[in-house]
Amino acid sequence: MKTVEVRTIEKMYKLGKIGVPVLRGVSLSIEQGEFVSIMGPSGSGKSTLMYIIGCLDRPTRGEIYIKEKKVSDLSDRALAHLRGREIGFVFQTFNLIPRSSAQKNVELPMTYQNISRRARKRKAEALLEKVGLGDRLRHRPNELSGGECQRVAIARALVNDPIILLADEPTGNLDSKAGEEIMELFEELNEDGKTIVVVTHDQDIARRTQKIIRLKDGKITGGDIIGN
Amino acid sequence: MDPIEPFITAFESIRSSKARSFLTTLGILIAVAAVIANVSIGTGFQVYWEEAVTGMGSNLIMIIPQEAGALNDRELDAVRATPGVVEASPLQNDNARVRFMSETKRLMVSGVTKEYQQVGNLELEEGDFLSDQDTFAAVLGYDVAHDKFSRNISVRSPIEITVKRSNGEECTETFIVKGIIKHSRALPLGMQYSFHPDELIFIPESTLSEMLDEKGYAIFASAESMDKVEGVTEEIEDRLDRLLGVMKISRMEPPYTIMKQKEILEMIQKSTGFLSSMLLAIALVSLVVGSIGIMNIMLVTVTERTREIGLMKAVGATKFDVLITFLVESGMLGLVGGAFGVALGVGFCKIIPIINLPLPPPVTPIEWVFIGLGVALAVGIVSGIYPAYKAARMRPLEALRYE
Repeated sequence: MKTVEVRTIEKMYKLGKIGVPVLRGVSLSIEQGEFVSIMGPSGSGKSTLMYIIGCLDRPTRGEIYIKEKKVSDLSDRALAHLRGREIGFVFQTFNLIPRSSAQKNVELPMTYQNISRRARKRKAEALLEKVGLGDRLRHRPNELSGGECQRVAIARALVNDPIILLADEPTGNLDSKAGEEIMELFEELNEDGKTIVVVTHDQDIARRTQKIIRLKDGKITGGDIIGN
Repeated sequence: MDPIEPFITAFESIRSSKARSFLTTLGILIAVAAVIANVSIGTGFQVYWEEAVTGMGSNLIMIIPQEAGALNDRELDAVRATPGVVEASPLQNDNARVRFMSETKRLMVSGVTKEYQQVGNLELEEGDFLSDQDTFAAVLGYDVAHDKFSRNISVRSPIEITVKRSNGEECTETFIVKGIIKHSRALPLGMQYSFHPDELIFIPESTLSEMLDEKGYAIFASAESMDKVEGVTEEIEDRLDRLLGVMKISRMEPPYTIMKQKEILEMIQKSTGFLSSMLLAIALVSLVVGSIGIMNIMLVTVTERTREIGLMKAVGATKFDVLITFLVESGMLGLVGGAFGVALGVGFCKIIPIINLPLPPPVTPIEWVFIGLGVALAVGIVSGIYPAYKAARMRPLEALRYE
């Protein structure tokens, strides 16, 4: 099944009165269980493409299908619900709530769904355990290392069992050892069947995925399938 | 969304910046404190009023001389003879030095006749009130007998009273305590002629005027009932004017004024009106300032947490969820200010009797505590509407990328 499909996406950003094209007709599809990287130099539109796939931004033109259902004309409210249930985001800068514990951070997406307090707690604990932070539940982000923060963020992204995990330069703020651990975690998750898209400009990161989509000046310039 | 979650978020946010939150809510705090203090003072007065009316009797008529010696025995007889007057007593107050054992205190001495017991609504704890035959007998107010001196004064004890004449000479006499008045519910009206009976020493008027070498006094009379006060007052006026040769048509000012208990109470209530309107003005200004303060700090908070708002939206929060999150926070800020304000207002009221402000002890009605909190909450929420709306309509991606 196609988890995500985008058809001839165009995106213009307005800078003052001038419209700057960021994406110029991008089409792609991602199958269930794939581990894909989107590569390109900065300004190529790779992050924009990822956020459009994640329904966090709307394309100027083009259509998006999630689980083969068209979502590009849904209301803001419906998109918020969709993001909450089907998409998991991982960011370069983690974006954890500094005042809340690791466990509370992981619980956050569940608070916007109808999930009981006890179920949320259980789920958050189980996921933190899974990413190797079972002993850090009560720690706040400033008491955790960068790698640990990113693992909290991954646990948060997984908490509503999304059909796709979208990561924007997930190792960009980490040292190579922590970055390596994060990539191993992604590989593990993918082996469990999770569909993952990683946006990166790092060749070494991209090479560890199964498929690389190369983007330049808002267009797909090529795709490599990497045989394992 | 889980309805409890915004409260936890708000609590964590406020807790993480205590000093800022406190300063923000200062306006609300002062406003609520001022309202609580104001209402408490007003209610205190109400209670005081009711007690004064029942304690001293609202059928009291006070005739106060405007010139020294204007009212004398002739006028007193005329008042006593006026139909509708039950009793009338002269009343002359003077500052005196009072010695008991080896202690000396400054106290107020009242020269009265036996009728004052009925007029002043006094009940005796011990002994008897003054009679016409007494000369050097004294009846003590409750506090004079029990609190003013280190040792209780009992009936038949001798006390020494020293008064100063207008020519500077002093006159000392020894009095025997004849009676002690029960703790009185009548209240100090803060006027020259009405001190709290608990703090007075009553001696015969004739003795006091001899000691002072001065004639003339105020006349306190009681009417048969409250609804007769008006008519009796007019009748007394007519009789005194005739006696003193006051011509109404010549618009001559009579050398006395007549005050009714009711009027005095109204006068005092008016004097508290100034304090009341000042407190209300403070409350209103503070409320506006407080509201702007909360709005300002919420705008700062929303800007500071722009990326957090982006994240909330990325993980499934709708506009409404974001709106509620920030409205709860601003409402909670208001409520915290309100709670501290109530505490400050009640505290202020507790201090009033301690620092001897000339006000009856304030009484805080419980419903005003809730009104205070409710207004604080409402101001918090209203002030938060614009910042929360601003947060809610942020575009998620722009918010996430905000630097």
